[in-house]
Amino acid sequence: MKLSSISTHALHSSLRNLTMAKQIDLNIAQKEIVTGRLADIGYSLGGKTHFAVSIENEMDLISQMKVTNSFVTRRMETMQLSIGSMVDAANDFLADMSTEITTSLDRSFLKSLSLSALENTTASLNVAYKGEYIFSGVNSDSPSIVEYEGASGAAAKQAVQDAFTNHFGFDANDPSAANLSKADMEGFLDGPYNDLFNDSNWSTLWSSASDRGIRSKVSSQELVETPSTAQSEAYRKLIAASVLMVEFADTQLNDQAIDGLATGALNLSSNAVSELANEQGLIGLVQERVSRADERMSFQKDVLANQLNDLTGVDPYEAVTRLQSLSISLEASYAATARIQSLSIMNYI
Amino acid sequence: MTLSAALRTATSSLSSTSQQAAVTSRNIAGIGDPNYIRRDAAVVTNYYGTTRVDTQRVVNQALFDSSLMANAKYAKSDAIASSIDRLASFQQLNEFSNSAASLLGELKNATEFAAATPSDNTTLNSLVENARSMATALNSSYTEIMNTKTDIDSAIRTSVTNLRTMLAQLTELNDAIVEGSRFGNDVFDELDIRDSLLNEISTEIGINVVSRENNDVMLTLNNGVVLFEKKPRDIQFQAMPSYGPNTQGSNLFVDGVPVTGDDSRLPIYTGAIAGNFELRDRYLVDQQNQLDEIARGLIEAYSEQDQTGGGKPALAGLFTWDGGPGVPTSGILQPGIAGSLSVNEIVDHTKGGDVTLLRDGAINGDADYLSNTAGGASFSDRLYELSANIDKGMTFDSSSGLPQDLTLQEYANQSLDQFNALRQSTTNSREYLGELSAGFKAALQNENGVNLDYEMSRLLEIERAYQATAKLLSTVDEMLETLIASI
Repeated sequence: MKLSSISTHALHSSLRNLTMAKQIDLNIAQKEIVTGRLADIGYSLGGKTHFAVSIENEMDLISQMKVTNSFVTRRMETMQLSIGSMVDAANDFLADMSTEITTSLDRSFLKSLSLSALENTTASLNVAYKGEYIFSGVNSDSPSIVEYEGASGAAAKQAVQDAFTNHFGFDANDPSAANLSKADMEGFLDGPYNDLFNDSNWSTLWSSASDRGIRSKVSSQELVETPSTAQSEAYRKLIAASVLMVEFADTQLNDQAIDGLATGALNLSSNAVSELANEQGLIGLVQERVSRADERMSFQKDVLANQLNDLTGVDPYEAVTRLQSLSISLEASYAATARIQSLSIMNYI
Repeated sequence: MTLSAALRTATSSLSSTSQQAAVTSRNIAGIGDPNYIRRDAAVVTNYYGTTRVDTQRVVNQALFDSSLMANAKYAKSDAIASSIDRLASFQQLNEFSNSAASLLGELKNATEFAAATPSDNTTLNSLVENARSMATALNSSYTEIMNTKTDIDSAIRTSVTNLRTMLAQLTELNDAIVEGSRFGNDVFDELDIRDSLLNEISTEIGINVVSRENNDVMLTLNNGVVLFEKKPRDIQFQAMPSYGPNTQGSNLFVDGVPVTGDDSRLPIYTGAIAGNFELRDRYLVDQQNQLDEIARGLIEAYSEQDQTGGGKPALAGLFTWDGGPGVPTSGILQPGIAGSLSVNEIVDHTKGGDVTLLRDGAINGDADYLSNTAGGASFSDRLYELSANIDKGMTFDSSSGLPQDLTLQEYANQSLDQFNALRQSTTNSREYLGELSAGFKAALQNENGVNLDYEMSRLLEIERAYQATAKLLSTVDEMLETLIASI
């Protein structure tokens, strides 16, 4: 029959289908403009979809790690402050003790001086952050150091007194104690008293802290261990120095012997101060690592955000232009439909 | 040539113009019907000078066959794409928040957060909550797949019922057409209905139409199996009332021959039914296996090992299943495990469990599995070990259609990718085949359909012819009258 023909039904329905297809595209463009992202990520990315999910996960992980890093940082800052206050107290103790030794050797003053130093050290070591005793290492649920004059320190106090009694055969309040010389005291300090602070005694009598610090991941690959715990020599010496005077200042010991003990306490204390600086240095190094990890992750997050945008983002300018051209062609299609509907041979015969 | 001969010619011309007018008005009436095929009323002059009208129904058979084929292909891709979309809208709701890949990432993050503050039960509890969302999502995705399979079976059953009804109608129509054609009756309307029926049949199952004498047709499937010859052939399908992990769906039998499944030598490959079978037996099986493997991988990643080196078997940790506290064999598919995956009650605070066991190990009460031997409250190694396990290489079953040596996260990612690649390609092919099928339909309509302008101008032409013939009649009448008056 006809070389090329068109059926009236096809003519009308093709316009309808065209209009519908345009409307669907319009809907997609509209959504993309509002959200700035692809309307259907899974469909658009197909076999690459997991990148979008992975990048978002990674960004979440980084945000989360920055929060946990802030915990680590705060913990170490608190430790730095505590150690700082211990250093200050130890320096005061050193200054006061050395003047006292060279001058009056007032025993009750020595005792109160040591007691306040001991209390300060105990309070500083038992400082808690977010409910954790930060100097206890992994065993963060128990206090780092016993209260020497309190119930928890009873065993330690008894052990100190026993060490004296076992070494000399009588206790410090025994009249015979008055005969002990400075050399006797030095022997006691280097021997049994020193042993009280060795690893096993320290763990059983004085502190329930662990050797190991808390391990935390500070970036996806880096695991850091919070360095200092109450197990460190510095704290042991600090405690040892102040306990010495607290326990023996107002006993039967003669001035010479007290002088020997006080000198010992001074030595321990000054050693402790230099070791505390060491601890501070170790913590500082880890702090540095954490802040570097933080910086690196901020950078990484920016890169990831860019990647995600490349993958799922929509150029708003392009989307708006698309919307405009779609609405123009949709209008044209409406106009054409109306024209064609009105175009009928029936109007002319 | 006599006056009476002229009168006879005029009479037959009148009759043929009115027949032509009838055909044209039938054409005009068919203008809104997409299946209407235009009749062509050709005037044939015979030896004696009289005319008669030979009405023909003009069909481009090749175009019609192609249209049926395109229709069947589109129906198949539409069936697949719709089900995939349904699953996608479930899993990828709200930017993939229900997908295993995304949930696994969140679970890892929660594990690391708990590891960063191991003494804090709140963060451990939130890890358990995260694990619960993971388990729930896998459970419900699994149920969704089972439901989809059940729905597909009932869709196939509906299709089969539909097909039987249509074939029964076809039998009646075909008989009427063959009968009518034999006696030379007008069977054009029946032919129109039969064509539209064939069109509908082809959306359910791809067919080839074989034309035979007296307008008889025989239908065969794409694979050559006879579907209809004089009478419909037997179609058998058994829908499963519900699907479990190991339920084997039934195949479709036409004329006693299996036309789907592994037993079939020549499976059908077009039509909605073929699409549904492909979904049920291939894509959904892959999805199901992948979910099972992800669930198994989770149990394995969070399981606990003998810490003493005594070589006791691994035991379920944060996640367990209905075969717990044992851990499923590594690298072997455990059908249904994604459905039974759950958070271990031993560590679930809402069920009176002790969440700190997650940090310390030995969840199942055997001290040999204890990681935190020193008992510190800020012990983080175990939790970091768990989070690292998600990114540690594992072995997966090869039947899941993904590589075997991947980390759990990679596996979940690839599963998501495979699914979306499938979704992309099925959506695209649906769009393409939709256009193709619509294009064929439009071409068919343009070629065989009615154009109002053309028919109206034909009508004018016929009107004029009628007027001329009538004029001829009256002229002959006048001449006869003159003749009679002169006698």
